[in-house]
Amino acid sequence: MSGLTHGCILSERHNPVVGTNLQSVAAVEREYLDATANFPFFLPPGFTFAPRAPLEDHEPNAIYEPRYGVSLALSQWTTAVEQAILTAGESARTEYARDMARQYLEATRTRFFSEIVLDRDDITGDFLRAVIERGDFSELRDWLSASA
Amino acid sequence: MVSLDSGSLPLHVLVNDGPNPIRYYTTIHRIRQGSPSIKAWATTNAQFITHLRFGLCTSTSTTQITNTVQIPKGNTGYFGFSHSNGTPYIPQGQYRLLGRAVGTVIVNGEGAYGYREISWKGDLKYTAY
Repeated sequence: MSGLTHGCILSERHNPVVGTNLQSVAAVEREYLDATANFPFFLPPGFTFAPRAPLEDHEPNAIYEPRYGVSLALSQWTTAVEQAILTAGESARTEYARDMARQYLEATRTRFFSEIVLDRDDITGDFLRAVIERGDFSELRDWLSASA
Repeated sequence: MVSLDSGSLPLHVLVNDGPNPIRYYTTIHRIRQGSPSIKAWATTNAQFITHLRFGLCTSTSTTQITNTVQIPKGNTGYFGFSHSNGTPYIPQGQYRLLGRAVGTVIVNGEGAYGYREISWKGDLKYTAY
């Protein structure tokens, strides 16, 4: 057993982020809490962020790109606001839905959003413009059912 | 062809005698129905790396990992759920990329114990086509 001679290497086993710009689970959790406390966009009625980062993976050694915690917060928000727009549209509150859709579209044009959500086909723009310009919720409904 | 640039983040990997820690990429990709599949390829000169393994997970699910591909270094791999006429297919939705390197450390002709950090700059690109 060469544990003594590999003491330095063994210490890295417990900290696999050493020497990289990736971050640990604990760092992502801190980043997430900061992002939810300072979230830059409107929150749909009744929506609150999950109290802890909803990490997909439970490997203790998982590592994450910087801003992963922000991405988790943004992902929750997009799902919530899309659902809120659809709910408003289906309950005949079309103008309210359109107003949220306009704010959402505005948000997608910010660097904060576009650096995390890569949407080269402009799926988001398409379903939001359908709501804003035509009061058509079918594309949004399809999107939500596909990504559920 | 739609390019989905994963960013220019160099991959610094820790090589051990098993898989490296799974690594998550921050970006979320929204993929339209009809984007037929994603091709991933990666290259490295790192002698210890034998494979790179990538996966897609749905970003709205907390647990679902939808598809993985293992790529021998320098080669190409393909993501896809179902195959129609030999073409992988990915439904409309939003996805995150995740990945890990798989390698074996050999020191003085023997398998090494523990992690060893190497600086590895590989190209990681993936493209919907």
